[in-house]
Amino acid sequence: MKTDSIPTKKILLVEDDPKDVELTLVALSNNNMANGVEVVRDGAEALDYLFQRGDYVDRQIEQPILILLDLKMPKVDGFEVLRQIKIDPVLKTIPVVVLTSSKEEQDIIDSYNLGVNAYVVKPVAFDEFIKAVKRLGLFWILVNEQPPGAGEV
Amino acid sequence: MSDKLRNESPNRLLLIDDNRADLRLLVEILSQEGYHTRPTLSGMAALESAHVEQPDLILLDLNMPGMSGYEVCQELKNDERTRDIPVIFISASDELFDKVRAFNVGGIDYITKPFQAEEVLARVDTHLTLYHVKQRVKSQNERLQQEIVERIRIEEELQNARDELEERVRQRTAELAQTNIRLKEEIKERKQAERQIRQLNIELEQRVVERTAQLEAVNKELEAFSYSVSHDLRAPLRHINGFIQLLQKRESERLEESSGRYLLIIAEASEKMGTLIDDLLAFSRTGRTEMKFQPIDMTALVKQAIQGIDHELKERNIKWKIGPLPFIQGDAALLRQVWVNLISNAVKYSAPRSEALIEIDTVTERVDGDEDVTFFIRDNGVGFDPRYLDKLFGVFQRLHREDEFPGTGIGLATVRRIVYRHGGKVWAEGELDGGATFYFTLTKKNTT
Repeated sequence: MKTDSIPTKKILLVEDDPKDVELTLVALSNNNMANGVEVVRDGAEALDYLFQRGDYVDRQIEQPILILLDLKMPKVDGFEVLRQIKIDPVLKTIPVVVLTSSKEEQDIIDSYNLGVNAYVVKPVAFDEFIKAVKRLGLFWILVNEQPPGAGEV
Repeated sequence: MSDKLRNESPNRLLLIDDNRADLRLLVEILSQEGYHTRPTLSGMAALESAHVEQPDLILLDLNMPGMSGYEVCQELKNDERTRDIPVIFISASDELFDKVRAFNVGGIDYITKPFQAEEVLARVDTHLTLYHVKQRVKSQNERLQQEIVERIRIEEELQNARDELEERVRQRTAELAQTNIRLKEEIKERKQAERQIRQLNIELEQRVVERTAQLEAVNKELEAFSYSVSHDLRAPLRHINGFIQLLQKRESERLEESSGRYLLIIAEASEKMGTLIDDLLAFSRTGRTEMKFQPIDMTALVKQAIQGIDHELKERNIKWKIGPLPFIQGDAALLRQVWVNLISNAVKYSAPRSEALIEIDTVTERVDGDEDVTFFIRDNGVGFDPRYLDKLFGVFQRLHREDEFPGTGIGLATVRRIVYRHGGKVWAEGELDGGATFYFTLTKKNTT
């Protein structure tokens, strides 16, 4: 677990459909990004995780450096999660990438209005999806300069 | 006396006396004064003469044989013609009785013989003056009478005219009253019609409001529907494609070629369906979105469209010939889509050529005045069979097989719908293996 080694960079995947979880994990692992992926299955879980409450009240792990967020989820949807993240003084610096089937203009508009960092439409073709995830990873984890204090508890 | 009151011509005097000497004396006296005299010796002769030519004055002796002076005077007064002639009696008698009788029969004066010349002259003069005055008054009177008659006549005529006028006024007033009544009725009818129209207008507006609400509701339903389609249909497709590929990877060693081929077909089919869904949604949106009209630089728009399909242009040898394109009014986003679709087609169907020639310009001849602009895009690609021209713009209609040229067959349908919404027309010309030209018109001014 945690030694004084370099902390693993965590990615939080918020996705309700197990098939999509599986496909996304495959895509991430194809790009060697699967190690630090935490999966939560709906918006409520996502918020509990991020705010360290509910089932995750004892979570002693560092905050994720990237959140991959699905929009259409039961109970609490992606917009609500996004909204709460972006108004919280600590959480708002975490980059959020919406990963969704929806190409609808209104969803894009609403997401950006709530402060999303990126909006990616999942292509039907899986190989294309793998490429897109690769690019995402390359950019957000390697190229992009993290805000200071990212990945800390 | 005053000459003014006498006749212009010298006065004529009729003298009657049976005594020649007296008669002669009278003639002398009177002639000297300038009077015309006619002496007569008897009443009969005098009457005759008086009837023939009326004298201005008669001097009459009383005592005469045959007709006496009285009788002569009576005769004179009985006759209209001679009634007014002044008669002066001359007589030797100075008796009151005779004088009175003389005046009774109508004489106006009485001179006794022997007479003095001055006296005779004076009395004659006076009576002539009087006589003329009387005559003048009489004629003036007659004139006045005539005038009065005339005036009365005129007054009668005036009264008649007035009566007539009043009658006409009455009639006209009656007519006007009629017209007034009619006008009032017309006004009432008009007001009623206006009220009806206003009522209808209100109803119409109400219906418009309702219809608009209905249309908006339908639109919203379509949007919700398309939104659902957009998201919910894609997820299973991704799953199909994703797990097929995983399967392929896992079993690639063990799979026979044909099995591998089957998996490939399935994977590709799911991708194709994804594309179809996208195209169909885009097509539906072109019919529903609100158009924002603004002036558009078509040259710039075409360049944007070419940039937009940049990935399709890699490793292609394309020669572009883009003419100066005018400014038009339209929705920029939708028209960009038109160019993207048309240019994309031109690029795609000229792929077999070593050098593709794509020309974009306007038709120069003026059609329908100077309001319309006709654009065209021409390529030297594989063209199409003109026998199937009417299918060209149909939804999901294609004139080439999927393995010849990929595509969903929605590009031209979208072009046509957008051009129609701008109030324009679209058509095409082509030959098999002889290139194709696509035309569309837009108006220079606003098209609402």
